[in-house]
Amino acid sequence: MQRYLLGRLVQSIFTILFVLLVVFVIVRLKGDPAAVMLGENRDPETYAAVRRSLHLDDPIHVQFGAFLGKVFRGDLGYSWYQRRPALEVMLERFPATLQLAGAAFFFSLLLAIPLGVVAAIKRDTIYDRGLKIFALLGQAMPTFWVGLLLIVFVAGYLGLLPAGGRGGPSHLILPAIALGWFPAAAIARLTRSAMLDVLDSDFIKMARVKGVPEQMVIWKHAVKNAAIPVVTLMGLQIAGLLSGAVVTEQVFAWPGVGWITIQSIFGRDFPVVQAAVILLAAIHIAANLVVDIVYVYLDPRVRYLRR
Amino acid sequence: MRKSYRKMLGLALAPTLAVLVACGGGAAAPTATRLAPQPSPTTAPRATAAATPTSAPARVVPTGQLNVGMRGTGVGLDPHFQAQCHYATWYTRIFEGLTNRAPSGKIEPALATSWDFAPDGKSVTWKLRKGVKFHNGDDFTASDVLWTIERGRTHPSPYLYRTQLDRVSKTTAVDDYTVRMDLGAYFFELPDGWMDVFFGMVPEKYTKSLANPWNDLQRQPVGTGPYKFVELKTNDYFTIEANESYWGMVSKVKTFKTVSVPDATTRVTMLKTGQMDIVEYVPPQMLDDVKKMPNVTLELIKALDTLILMPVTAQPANLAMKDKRVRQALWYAQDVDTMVDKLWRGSAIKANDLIAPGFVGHNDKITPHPYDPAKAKKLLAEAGFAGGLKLRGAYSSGTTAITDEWMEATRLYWADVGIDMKWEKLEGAAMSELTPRKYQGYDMYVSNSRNIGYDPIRDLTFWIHSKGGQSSHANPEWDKMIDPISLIPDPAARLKAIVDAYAVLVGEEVSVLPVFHPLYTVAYRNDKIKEFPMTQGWSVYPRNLNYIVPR
Repeated sequence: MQRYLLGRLVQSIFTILFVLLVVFVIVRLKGDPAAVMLGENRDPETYAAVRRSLHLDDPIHVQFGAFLGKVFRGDLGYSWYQRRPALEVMLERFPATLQLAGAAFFFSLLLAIPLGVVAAIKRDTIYDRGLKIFALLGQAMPTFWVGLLLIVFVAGYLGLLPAGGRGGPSHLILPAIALGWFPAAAIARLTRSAMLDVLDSDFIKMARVKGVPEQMVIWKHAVKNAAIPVVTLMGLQIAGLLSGAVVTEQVFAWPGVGWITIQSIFGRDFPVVQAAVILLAAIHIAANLVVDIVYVYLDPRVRYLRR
Repeated sequence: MRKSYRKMLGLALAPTLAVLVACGGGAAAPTATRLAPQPSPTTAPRATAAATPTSAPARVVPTGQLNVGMRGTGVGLDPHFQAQCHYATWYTRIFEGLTNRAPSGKIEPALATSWDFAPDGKSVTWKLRKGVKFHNGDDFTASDVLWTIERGRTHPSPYLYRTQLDRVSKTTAVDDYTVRMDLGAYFFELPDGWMDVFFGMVPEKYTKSLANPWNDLQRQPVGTGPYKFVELKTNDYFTIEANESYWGMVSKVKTFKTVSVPDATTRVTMLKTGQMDIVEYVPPQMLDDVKKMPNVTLELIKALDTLILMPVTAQPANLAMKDKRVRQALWYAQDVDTMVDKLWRGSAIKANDLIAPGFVGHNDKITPHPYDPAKAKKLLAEAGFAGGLKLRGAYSSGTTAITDEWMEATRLYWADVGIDMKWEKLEGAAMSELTPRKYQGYDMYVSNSRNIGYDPIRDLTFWIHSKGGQSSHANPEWDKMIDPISLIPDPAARLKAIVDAYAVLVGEEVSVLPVFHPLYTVAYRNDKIKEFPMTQGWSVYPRNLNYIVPR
């Protein structure tokens, strides 16, 4: 098992390096970064100074080496417009994104697991069909659209909750629902199908034959066994929520990482964009690694297969 | 009839689904809407020595807080770190220049009480206002003016006014309150125009005391303006507080918190629910909704903007666009009145000139070409394109809230006269990369001309002269018309020459095709604001905030 985990760790490191290479190349494909930063009316001295500071006069492999060195020292560049380190800009916004993603995840779990379990137990009933509609809507409607609907009807028409901005807990509800509906739909569908598989298995039939109470059959035996694929998906959804908050943050004026990334793209503040891509990619890779590790502990078959 | 129906269907189908849901249909009684009172168009020349004093200081005790929902909250507050003119929306609340611009665009005294041009136009002497203090208590003196010019010239960042500064050969402090500025070569743009609110005066002692004099003013700004800096969270919110010892009119509102709300639906809903007291940029699709809101007033204010279609004539491949008759045909072939009515829902004015009406340099004698498809066809036939013409254009969706709809309508109008227009939507940065290549590969592009300079020679040069920053032309005849104007030292004669040049270059040559002047749309809550006397170009003129009377 240790060999398996070590292998996954090495894979993750290579993935990170590949992401850094892609970021490095893309920034340079855009053209001369110094020229892009300074615009058309640049003066030659400033231009030369910026080129030197970015190592742009060095050979490309030296530039990449310098870039890697800086990244591993936590230096992701300097925000051209905010006049401070790009990592600082990102980290300042990260708590807001984490809060939103966390609330969305909580909302999706709160809704998806019970819905999926009930739909599986009450297969082909109105509950099951209700879940299908919920899942279809959640996966078919874009997040920004759900967000706008919530803003117009819940905030604007009913006046129940704030329409946007970051403030108290009430500010969190609408963006969390908008962001969490999509993963909730996916988790609910997977929970339902995993439950159906488990409910059809011999050990569940045996438990029922032995007279184990139905509640115990469902919640102790069936849900526990159906949870393995669901937990995997949930782990991946956390990373997806963190990076997927870009649109939701924009619609709800939520001052997180996604919003500053969009603004930096429009403002051509490439160091901040670069920092955002690296940060979000690192989160994705770390989440995948954690899921793989958890999966080994949850499912003994993985341990045996890897031996 | 059939074509007309098709056009209207195109116009009706164009708005996005999101907007359809966000906004209700139907017209509303326009009782809560008023077009702000406008000063008469300013075409009078400025005096070489400004004499009219600003209004006497009115001492009040500022109270309360107003929350303002805007599309963005800028990126920084250092007047010398401004790559784009719209950043001025933020720092001009804190900093002031030697001059100020009245809402009409007319120059008036600010930190300078008067100024004199030498008879040969090669120098200008400024008399500074006495008793002015920076927000940290430092006195404003001549050494701050010298430092500001020096800092602007040497700041390692993109700076809009560097070209102007490069033409100042020497600045001398005659005494603590007198500054003489020598102009090495003749000025392309007269300095009392650009030494205005956009050229904020920076405190010398304070800036030099900062750990990094180049960077730190961005986040700890100190000026002499009507508002003091409190807090900035970039692209989140920006808080300012009334400067109670301001030399001019003191704000009646203690605190303004400007919150960045990029989505228009969210912004308007926040106004409705009371989260915001003022919101800007209400898109045309939402005007009816806002008009229906109880307790809300909607203002439509003349702004500095002109939305233009820019013919590309600089490239050898732009054969058709080089022909004046084709450019005129394009103007005749679009029904601007219908677009103002159906697309803008009244929140724009049909344009006739590059400079918006009410602003210095506007020529109200240019007659916009009326919608006349038959004449357009005739002109195209005369130019040798009776069988049709294929054109390729570029635009950025960020230009206006309804650029996609506008482009589709234009395409349909031009199709009626045999022009096959292919519009390509580009991201803003991609559009700006086309500029240095003079829009090679395209026949037309779409842009927004914002008349931020007092001296309208700037716009004439910027858009039409072959060396202009945004020009898509290389026409020596047009350059010959523009070049001598910047050598006219008499402001009145200079302004007349500019206005006459616009009549030829826009009205006849159609080097620029002005289409709309969009109105600046602002809505505010009546339960929080008693009076909001709006003037032109609100977002650019921070002094307008001073006039707000809270409840």
